[in-house]
Amino acid sequence: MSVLNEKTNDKTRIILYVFRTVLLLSFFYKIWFMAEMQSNAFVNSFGNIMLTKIMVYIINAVTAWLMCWFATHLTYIMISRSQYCPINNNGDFILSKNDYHIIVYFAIIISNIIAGSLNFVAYTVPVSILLFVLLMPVLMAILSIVLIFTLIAIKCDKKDIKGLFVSMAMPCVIFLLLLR
Amino acid sequence: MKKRVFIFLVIILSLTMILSGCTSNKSALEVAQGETTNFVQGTKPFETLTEFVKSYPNRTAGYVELNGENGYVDYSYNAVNWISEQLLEMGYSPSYEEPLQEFYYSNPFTNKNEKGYNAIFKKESASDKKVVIGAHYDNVASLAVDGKILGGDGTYSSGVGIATLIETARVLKDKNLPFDVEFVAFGASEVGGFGSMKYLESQNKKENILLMIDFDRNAIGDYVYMYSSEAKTKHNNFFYDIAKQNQLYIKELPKYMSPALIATSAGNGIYVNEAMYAESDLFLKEGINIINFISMNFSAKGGVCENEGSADILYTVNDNLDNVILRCGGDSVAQEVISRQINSAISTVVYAFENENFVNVMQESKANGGKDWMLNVATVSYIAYGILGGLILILFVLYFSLRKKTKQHDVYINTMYGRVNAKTGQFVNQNNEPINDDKVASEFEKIFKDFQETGRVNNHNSNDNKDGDNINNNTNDKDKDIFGDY
Repeated sequence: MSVLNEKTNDKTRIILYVFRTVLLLSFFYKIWFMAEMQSNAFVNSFGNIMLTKIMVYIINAVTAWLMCWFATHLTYIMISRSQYCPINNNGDFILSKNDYHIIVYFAIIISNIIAGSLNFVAYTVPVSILLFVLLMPVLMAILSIVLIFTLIAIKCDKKDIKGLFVSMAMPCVIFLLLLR
Repeated sequence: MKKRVFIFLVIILSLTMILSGCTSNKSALEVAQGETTNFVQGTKPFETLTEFVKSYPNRTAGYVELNGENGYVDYSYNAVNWISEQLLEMGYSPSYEEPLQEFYYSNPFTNKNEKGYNAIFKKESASDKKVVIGAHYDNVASLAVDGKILGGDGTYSSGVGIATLIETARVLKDKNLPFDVEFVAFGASEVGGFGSMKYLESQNKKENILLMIDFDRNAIGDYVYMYSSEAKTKHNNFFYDIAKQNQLYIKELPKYMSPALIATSAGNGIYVNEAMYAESDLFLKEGINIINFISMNFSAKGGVCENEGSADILYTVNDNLDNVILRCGGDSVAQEVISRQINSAISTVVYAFENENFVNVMQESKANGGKDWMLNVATVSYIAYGILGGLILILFVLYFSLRKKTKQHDVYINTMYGRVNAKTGQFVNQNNEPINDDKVASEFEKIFKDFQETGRVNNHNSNDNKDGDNINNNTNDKDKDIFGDY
């Protein structure tokens, strides 16, 4: 089965490490608005304002990053073990584990950058705090999923798109629940 | 020698001015040196403030002390009784049978069920509409957090509010207005806003409240602002227009900035937070139009504070009249600054009430500019999680409907010799080409038999494959496998 599809090389591995790091940084960027609000709410919880701010950023960003990493692993297992996923000549899922991770990380990095940039709007639009804190993560998770699906679909034959959709339906639920 | 004495005196004088917070007075004085204003006449705010805070320096809610022959003395009761007497003397009648509305609340500082009081007086009209003018009278003189006393005599929070309330009542006494006015001195505010909470609970017809005006910390800061909501509202614009027309000392709110932005180094966070930290907040949450008069500096470089460069009055022992006078540079300057700020608030209210469009504007205006749903946590949560839940539901429906119509690809079982097509039973090599080899036939037969019996096989990485036979020995795995859809 394609769980074993670990065809990789140094170049892919380097790209994967870079993306994984950039992903973490992108989460810091994405959550800054919420983190600033939380910092103001907790103020001196960790002894001083700056330490509180740093802790709030780290806790939020690292938690989001770990959840994303877990979701990526889980969804790859689900997709690659599906009977409907697009396969290569060997009968394996067309994407190796590393390729899949790179695609997912790339999509999430893009949506994180968009989300982080949209936060600037929240600074100037009154009555928008709740929309940005509660609604935006959901919308950004949807955007990420659409991007992931699109990027994988580009690598598939047209006839396999339907199968890709079926194999990705449940993984998408996982993404919706875990991407924050 | 004289020269030395002179230099010494200059140095001492300079140090005294610096230590007494002269820098923070600068902007307060700037306010006092404004253009010609059109104040209403007949008020004496500084005298009322002085009498109130000097007579009742301790108005802590729930603070009862044994006081010699008088037995237990409830200082907050004495304070509200004084306010009640002032309004009775002016000729106002209590809104209810008793001048004081009694209520009970759970005091988080004493962990006891305490008795609190609101003083509620009214000015009646033929209309069933009313405007509520309120201020809280209690302070934090006896409250301590971590052994540190929180406050002084509460001149800033909110002796000035009560002085403004009483003086507004004095000016409005002889006015004919097309709506009722209710004057409310709220109790137990500093310990959790219980006074306004109980007042609102006692209101049967909240829809008849045109406006709630709150005087809270409305003097002593650098500037007086009028806050209504995060959103722009008609009634706020109306009040600002009135203030501008009469050259009153009311400053425009700064451009909206999110609460996430301002660092709290100055101690008070962002202006929206500060402005909502008042009795009026509960009214706003009920969808009632509010105007909250608050005196601070919302655009100070170091963050929101009372005076530029200092945020050391609220909830500190500095919140007392003597300190305020010292900061202002003397009794006369303090009197001038405080009176101008309080008179600005009173005049704005009185001129607004006298405006013929007042009732219409208040009826047309919406408390949050019609954007209440965006401020409602429950509503926004329902939308966000509704989208999430809806999408998950759609994905499930699509999955189960499409999987029947979608062609499945072959599943192969890896063995040490090659791969078996689990559907057809055909033994193939790594390129999925058929293999006819007697050596593997028995292996294949074994695997395929197992597959047919159990309905599934395991892969190389399975814990079940410790024996290396690539065969799933655990029939229960079928039920446990939630990831594979085969």
